[in-house]
Amino acid sequence: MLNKRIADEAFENNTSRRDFLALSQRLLLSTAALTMCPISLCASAMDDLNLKYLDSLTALLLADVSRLLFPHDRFEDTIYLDVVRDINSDMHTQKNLKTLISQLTKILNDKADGDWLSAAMSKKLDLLKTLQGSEEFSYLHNRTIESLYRNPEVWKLIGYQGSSIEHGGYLHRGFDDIDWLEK
Amino acid sequence: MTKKFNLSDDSVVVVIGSGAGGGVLANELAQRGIDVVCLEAGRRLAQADIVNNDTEMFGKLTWLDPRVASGQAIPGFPVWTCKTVGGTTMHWTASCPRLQEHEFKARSTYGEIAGANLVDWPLDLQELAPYYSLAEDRMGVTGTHDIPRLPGNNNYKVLEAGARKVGYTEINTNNVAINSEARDGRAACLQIGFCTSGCVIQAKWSTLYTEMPAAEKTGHFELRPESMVVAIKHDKQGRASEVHYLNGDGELKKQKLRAVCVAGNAVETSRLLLNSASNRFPGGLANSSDQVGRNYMRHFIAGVVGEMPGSVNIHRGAHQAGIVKDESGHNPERGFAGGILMLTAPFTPEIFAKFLQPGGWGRDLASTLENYDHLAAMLVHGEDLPEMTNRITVHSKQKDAYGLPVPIVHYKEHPNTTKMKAYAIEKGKNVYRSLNASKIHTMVDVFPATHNMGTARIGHNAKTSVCNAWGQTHDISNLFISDGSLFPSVGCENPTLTIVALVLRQADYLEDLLKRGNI
Ligand SMILES: Cc1cc2nc3c(=O)[nH]c(=O)nc-3n(C[C@H](O)[C@H](O)[C@H](O)COP(=O)(O)OP(=O)(O)OC[C@H]3O[C@@H](n4cnc5c(N)ncnc54)[C@H](O)[C@@H]3O)c2cc1C
Ligand code: SF4
Repeated sequence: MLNKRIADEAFENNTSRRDFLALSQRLLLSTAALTMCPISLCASAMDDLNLKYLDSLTALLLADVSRLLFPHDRFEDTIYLDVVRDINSDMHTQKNLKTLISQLTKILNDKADGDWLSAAMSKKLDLLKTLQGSEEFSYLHNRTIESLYRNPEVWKLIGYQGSSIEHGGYLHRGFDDIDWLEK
Repeated sequence: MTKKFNLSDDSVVVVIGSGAGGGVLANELAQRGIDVVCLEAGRRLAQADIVNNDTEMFGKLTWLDPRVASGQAIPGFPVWTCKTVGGTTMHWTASCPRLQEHEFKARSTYGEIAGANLVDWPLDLQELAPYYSLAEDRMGVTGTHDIPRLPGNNNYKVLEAGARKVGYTEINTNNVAINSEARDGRAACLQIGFCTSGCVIQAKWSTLYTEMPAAEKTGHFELRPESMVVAIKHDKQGRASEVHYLNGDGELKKQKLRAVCVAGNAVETSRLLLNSASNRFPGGLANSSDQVGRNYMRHFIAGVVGEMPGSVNIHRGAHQAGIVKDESGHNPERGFAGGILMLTAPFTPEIFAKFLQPGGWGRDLASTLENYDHLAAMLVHGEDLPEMTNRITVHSKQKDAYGLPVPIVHYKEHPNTTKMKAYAIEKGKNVYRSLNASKIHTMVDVFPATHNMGTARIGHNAKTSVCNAWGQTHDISNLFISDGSLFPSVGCENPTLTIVALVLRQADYLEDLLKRGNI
């Protein structure tokens, strides 16, 4: 059993390495596609991800969709890659998720004439609308929300200050510092 | 000195649940020298387990065993309560207004309302007032007993300024069971802003660190955490004789008793009574009236959120230290019966993301979330009416991990509530509009019920109510109900202060019965 798991892991690592190589080639070749794509990842970022269950192309697609769902121009791509990382972790614990993700990828690519990442933004948004309410969409929607808005990096960017006990609360740190109300 | 009682000791009073109702009742009885065993389904957290992280604390505190929703109850998670020592006083935000005089007389004040099973309470404000006062003192409620009110935070200041602009005058930082100054061995609020995650410094009243340790000091009290009561059993005379519970190792234990008080928070209280059905009581315990589980009430709770012209930093400070009471009266000209409260309430980015537009996405929503520091928010809630058909039942097939039939929570809004809700939301919006909010959002019908009441109501008539005016069930003299299930109607106020007042009154009555050997 254990042996089989180790073998599986080795296999998966290999495949993602292979996909990654293919992907970086693709990225080099298709800069046109890149500029259309709201996610503009560099290859090294993908490399860092080191995902067990997701090949790099799928990872890129998921990051792209999560940015389309909650687009914050000020956020670096790495923040959306954290969403993908969480999807990968979910896949470890939720058995049916592999099917769901490959289903989702297939639907999106099919709808975008075989290549989601090269589709135009407006087209992507329209396509996403048609998916609303589906199990695949709901998963990704919820996952994106929970990954983004539970992320302390995001909190910093939007002004939520998180845990405060270590700073003695807000009693002396602006709980009543509002200054724009008329007196 | 923590005491241990034998399972065979039939002189103890068993209290089921350690939240607002159970925790207070158990301690109060123990203080009077009555031996009490408190059975609590959840774990006992240490103070170090409490952290400033909503997601983590939700996992540690919340009752996550399955509950089925029906009607307009929120699918999958109809009710938000806690399963831990301290019960939902861990999550609660400690808002403690009293019910108003007319709210004890709902039927006489509002008249006949089609579809509503309205009644007057079997007691009035005057009768409950001394117990309200005891409850406020015990819980350290601000604005009572010379306890100063909390200072207002930014979100309050926005509410106050907006409310004044639209002409409201009954505005203050509320009566909250949160220390504004050190009291009762607990610290003053530091405006930490994580009230619903359990208060790290114990400024907020929770039975975990008030009632429980106080009861333990008496030598008349034993708390058994991780003890899920599965049934209350009765003897040949039809009197409650023991409770069966599963301990942390899943072993079935049987505790003998003299009296038993159920404080599981309406849904679980109803479920336990129904799941305890026997040959003699086929419809469940104390249910000869067929009212157990019926007349289930909540408050409609809706969020109103303003994108304000300047920063608010809503997350800073005590959650519900801010209230507007101008709409809380009964004014039929508004087109509905009953009143409304407006209360400050902060939300995390995640909650806004989930509920500002449920299922929503895209640039507009993201831009609102990016504007997080400019958001101000309030909750509006109002009186709900009792209806026979809004009820807790148990599932015929589905069971939880304890092997117990899961509860079904069926709730449909009365037309009165629908009208009231629309009105309340509009009034809430006006508050932020008056301060030139650039956008105003609402969060409607998205929150699971946090206030759960009315499923074993008190009344004089055993045919139309489950308990007498003291919460003693009409059918079984040594079975008491000690939580919000008792409410015949709910007013518009947050329920917990009233629950505590009712169980303090019950303690007097129960002590008297025990002393006189009547049970
Ligand atoms: C987020 C939030 C905010 C709130 N804010 C306010 C507020 O500001 N003001 C207000 O008045 N109210 C508020 N409430 C409601 C308040 O928490 C409840 O009214 C109050 O806690 C109810 O007290 P209780 O004793 O009936 O139930 P609980 O406090 O829920 O306690 C019931 C206990 O019984 C245990 N139990 C249940 N069934 C069994 C069983 N079979 N065996 C053993 N143990 C069992 C549970 O584990 C639980 O610990 C809030 C609630 C929530 C969720
Ligand atoms: S705001 Fe006050 S009551 Fe709420 S968690 Fe903080 S210190 Fe406790």
